[in-house]
Amino acid sequence: MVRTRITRMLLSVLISVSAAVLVMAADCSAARDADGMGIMGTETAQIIGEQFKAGGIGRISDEIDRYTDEETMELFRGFDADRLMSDLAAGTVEVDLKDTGQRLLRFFFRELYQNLGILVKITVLVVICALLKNLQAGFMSEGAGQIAFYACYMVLVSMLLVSFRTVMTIGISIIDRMVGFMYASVPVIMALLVSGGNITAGGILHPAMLLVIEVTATVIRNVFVPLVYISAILTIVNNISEKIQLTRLVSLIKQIVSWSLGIILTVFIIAVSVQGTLGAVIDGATQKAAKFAISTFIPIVGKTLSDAAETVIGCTLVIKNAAGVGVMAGILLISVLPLIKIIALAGLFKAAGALLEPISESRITNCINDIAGSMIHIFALSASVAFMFIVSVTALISAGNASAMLR
Amino acid sequence: MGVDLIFRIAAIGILVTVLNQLLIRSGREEQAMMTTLAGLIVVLLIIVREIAALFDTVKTIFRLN
Amino acid sequence: MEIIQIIGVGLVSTLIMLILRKQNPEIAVLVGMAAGAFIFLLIAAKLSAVVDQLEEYAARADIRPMYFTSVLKITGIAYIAEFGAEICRDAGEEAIASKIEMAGKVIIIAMAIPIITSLLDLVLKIMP
Repeated sequence: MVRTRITRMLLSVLISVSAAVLVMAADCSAARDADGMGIMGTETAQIIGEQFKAGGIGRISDEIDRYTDEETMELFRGFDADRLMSDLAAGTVEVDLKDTGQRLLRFFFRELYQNLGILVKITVLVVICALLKNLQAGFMSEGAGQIAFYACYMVLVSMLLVSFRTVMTIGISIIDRMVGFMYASVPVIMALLVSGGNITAGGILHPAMLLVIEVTATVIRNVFVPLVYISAILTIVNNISEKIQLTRLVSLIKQIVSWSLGIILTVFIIAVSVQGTLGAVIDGATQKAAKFAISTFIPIVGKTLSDAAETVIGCTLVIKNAAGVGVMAGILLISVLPLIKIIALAGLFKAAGALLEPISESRITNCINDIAGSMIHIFALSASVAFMFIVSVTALISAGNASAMLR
Repeated sequence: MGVDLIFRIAAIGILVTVLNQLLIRSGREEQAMMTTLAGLIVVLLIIVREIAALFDTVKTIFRLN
Repeated sequence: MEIIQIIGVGLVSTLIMLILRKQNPEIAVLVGMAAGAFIFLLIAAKLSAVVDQLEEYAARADIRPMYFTSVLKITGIAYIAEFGAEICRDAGEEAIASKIEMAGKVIIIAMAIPIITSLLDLVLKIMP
C-alpha cells in the first residue's frame, strides 16, 4: 500500500517533468513571437546575444560545473551548459534523447556490475549460515542453535548496513548539492525575471522561494532521512526473533514519512504556482501601465522608446527561459546519476532476497527485502526534492512568460 | 582403536560381572566390590585416551584452542 | 561405506550396554562414552574438510575471519556440551546434565558478545 503510493508519486514526477519541458518549449516560442519580429531577425539575435553576455548566464554553467561530480561529466562528455543555453536562446537546440537514454542505461548496468560483489558476498554468507545451521540441527539444543543463528545474522546485518549507509550518504549528498545549486542559480533567474520586467514576481518570489526551498530540503534531510534509517534498524531488530514483532511500528513510521512527503510536495507546488501566477498578473498589469505611460508622456521618442524596451524585454524573456532550462538541466545532471546508483543497489538487494529465498530462513529473506525497501524510500525522498526544485524553476519561468502573454 | 575397542571393553565388563557374581555367591563381598572397582578403573583408563582424542579432534575442527 | 560401519558400531554398542546395564551400570556408561567418541572420530575427517571449505568460502567473500571463527566455536562448544549432557542423562543424572547444558549456553553467549558489540557500534556509527 505504501509502495504503490511511492510508485504513483514517482510516476507523477515523471509525467510532470515531461509536461514541464514541453511547456517550456512552447513558452520559448511564445516569448519569441511576442516581440512581433520573425524568428531569426538579425536585430533580435543581436540583442539576445548582448543580453546573454550581460545576464550573468555564465554563472549558471559555473555552478553546474561546481556541483556535479566527475562521473556525471564523464558520462555526458560534450555537454556544455553555455552552449545549451545559447542554443536555446537562438532557437536551435538539438537534444539527442536516444543517445542520452542509451548512455544512462549503460551507466545503470555498469553500476549493477560493480556492485555485484556485494550480492556475491551476501549469497556466500547465507549459504554458510544455512550449512552451519544444518550441522547444528543435529546435535544442538534449541538455545545454542539460536545463538549461532544470531551470530550469522549479525554478520549479514553489518554488510547490509554498510550498503545502506552508502545509499543514505548518496541521498543526503544529492539533496545538499541540489540545494547549493539552487541557492546559486535562482538569483540569476530572478535577476533575469526582474530585467524582463517582472518586478513583483522577482520581488515576491525571490525570498519566499529561497526560504521554502531551504526549509523543505532541510526538513527532508534532517527529519525524514533519519526516520527511514530508524525504520530500517527497526526492521532488522524485528527480524531477529520470530517472537518479538515490531512490524506495526515499522509500517507506522514508513506511512508517516510517505504521507508527510506527499503533503509537503503538494503544499509546495501549490504555494509556488500561486505565487507565480499572482506575481505574473500584477506584473502584466504594471508593464502595460508603464508602457502606456512612457509612450504617452514622453514626446516624440516615447513610442520608439517603449517599443525598444519591449523588444529588449522580450529577448530577455527568451534568455530567461534558456537559463531556466539550463538550471533544470543542472538539477537533472546533479541528481540523475546518484539516483541511478541508489536504484541499482536497491534492485540488487531485492534480487538477492528473491534468489536466496529457497535456501535461507524467512527471517534473513525478510530482512534483506526490507532493507531494499528502505533504500527505495531514500530514493523516493531524493527524487521528490529534485522534482520540487524542477517544478519551482518551471513556475519561475512560467511566471515571466505569463506576464508577457498578458501584455 | 576401532570396533575392537568396544568389544574389549565389553569383554572386560562381562568378565568383571561374572567375577562379581562368583565372588558374591562365595560370600566375599568386599573382594567382589574391589574387583568391580578394578574393572571400572581399567576400562576408564582405556577410555580416557579415546575421550582425550575426541576432545582434541573437536578442538581442532571447531578451532576452540 | 562408513555409514554402514557406523550403524553397525552403534547397534552393537547398544546391545552390549543393554546386557551390562543391569549387572554393571557403570561399565555400561563407559561403553556408551566409548561408542559415542568412536563414531564421532570416524566422521571427523569429513567434518574437518567441510569446515575448511566453508572457511575458504568465507575468506573469498571477504567476511571478517573473526565472525566465522566465532560461529564455528559456538558450534563446537554446543556439540561438546550436548555430548556430555546426553551421557549424564543416559546414566540417569538429569541434574548434572542440565547444569552442563546451562554452562554451555553461558559460554556461548559470552563468545557471542563481541559480535553483538561490533554490530551495535556499526549501527550507532551510521546514525545520521
